[in-house]
Amino acid sequence: MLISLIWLPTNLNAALELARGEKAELNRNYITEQNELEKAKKLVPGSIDILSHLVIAGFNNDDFKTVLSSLNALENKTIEDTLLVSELNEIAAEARDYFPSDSLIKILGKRKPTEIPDTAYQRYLRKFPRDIFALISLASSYAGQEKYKSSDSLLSTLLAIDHTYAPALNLKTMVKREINEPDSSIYYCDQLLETNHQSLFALSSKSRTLLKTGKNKIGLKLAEECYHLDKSMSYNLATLAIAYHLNKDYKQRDAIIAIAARDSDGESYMKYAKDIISNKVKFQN
Amino acid sequence: MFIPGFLITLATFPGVIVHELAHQLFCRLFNVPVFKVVYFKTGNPAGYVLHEAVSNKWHSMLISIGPFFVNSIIGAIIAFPAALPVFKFDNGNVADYLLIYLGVSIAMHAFPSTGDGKAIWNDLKHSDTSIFVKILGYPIIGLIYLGSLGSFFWLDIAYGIAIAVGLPNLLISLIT
Repeated sequence: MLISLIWLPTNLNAALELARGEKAELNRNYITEQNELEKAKKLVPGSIDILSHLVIAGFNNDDFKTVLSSLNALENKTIEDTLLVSELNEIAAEARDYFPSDSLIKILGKRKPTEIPDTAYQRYLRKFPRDIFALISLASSYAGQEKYKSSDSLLSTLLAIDHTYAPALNLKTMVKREINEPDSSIYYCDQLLETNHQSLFALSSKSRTLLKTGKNKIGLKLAEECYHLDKSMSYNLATLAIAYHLNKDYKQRDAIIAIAARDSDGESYMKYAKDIISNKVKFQN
Repeated sequence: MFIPGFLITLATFPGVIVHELAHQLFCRLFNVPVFKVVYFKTGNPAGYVLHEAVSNKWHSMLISIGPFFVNSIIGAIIAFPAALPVFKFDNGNVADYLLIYLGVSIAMHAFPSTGDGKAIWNDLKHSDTSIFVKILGYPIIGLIYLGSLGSFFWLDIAYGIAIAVGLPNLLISLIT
């Protein structure tokens, strides 16, 4: 009885956090799910159930670090819940498109996917037109070079193959905004938000699109909502700075810029925000 | 599947010990002198408590049904933290299974025996027993005999599992 009483608080807390995580998963609130499961994992590190659900949450939050570490921890363990097994298998199958295929790896050699020229991708895609990873890599490259129309067309091809592929939907929201199709941009944001009600990128991107069309108040509200879910997301810190600027809240804007300055990873995102603030880039229509 | 009762009793002896302890505890609580306690033995009954006749009918009834509360509570407390790793976290270990066995064993012996039922019956027959005690007492006797009949259909084991395993799962889903 003494052992039980000693174990009770830890196990009860972990069970409550797991249950809250599972509930959040049912409601497609994957950020909440991941936060709850991380807390539960600290209390019960070897739980197969917690680790399995972390794979699901991590995948839906594009957090492949969590997905891989959880899968490693699950290695050689038997999952008894058959429903969970089929869900994990589904994720494993979907995750293949997030990494280069064997034939693409041969072309990449030791280079990173971002380091090979567009022409190499174009040649490769003539041979393998349905290679999702190659399609998204080339579309990203086009977007980076501001060839938004080409990127958009490639993304449409990709989404015709897999309409749920999150990286393509993410990029679509941005590309559509850049080619002045805000309604389409919001449509793709909503597609992402349908799968994951707490998709950080979709929330932040939707906020930018709304801000671009002059809906400053609602844009700010979305950026703040995203900030409450994750205070460290560089992309959204930049969105939030833009939103505060457009809502003439300069004190908050500067505070956010100061927070972002602590992390060098998000420099490029904040540079874009600063360009808008200093009128170097014309943001609103 | 039919398994002889004495084998089940033998396999779940911790529950019998707690059952007799519960009778003893309630005797102590009401200052009823206890003459002899057998916590566990092979044979029928598997354990018993001999105590002085109790003049207060409420006390007498509570001494008889005491194990229902004590065994249920102790069984639930012991099994609760062990049921979670096994049924929620999917990483139960030997200690967890041992605690679940203890919890189920204890909780399944929560039902008062027919001997306890007879003791209540004898009290209720007395003319000086108040109507309130009788109103409460007769249904309890009925339930005790139903429980005893139900044990042929493994009701006691089902109750033990429900307390030790079902309760933690139910509580977690109710709280969240």
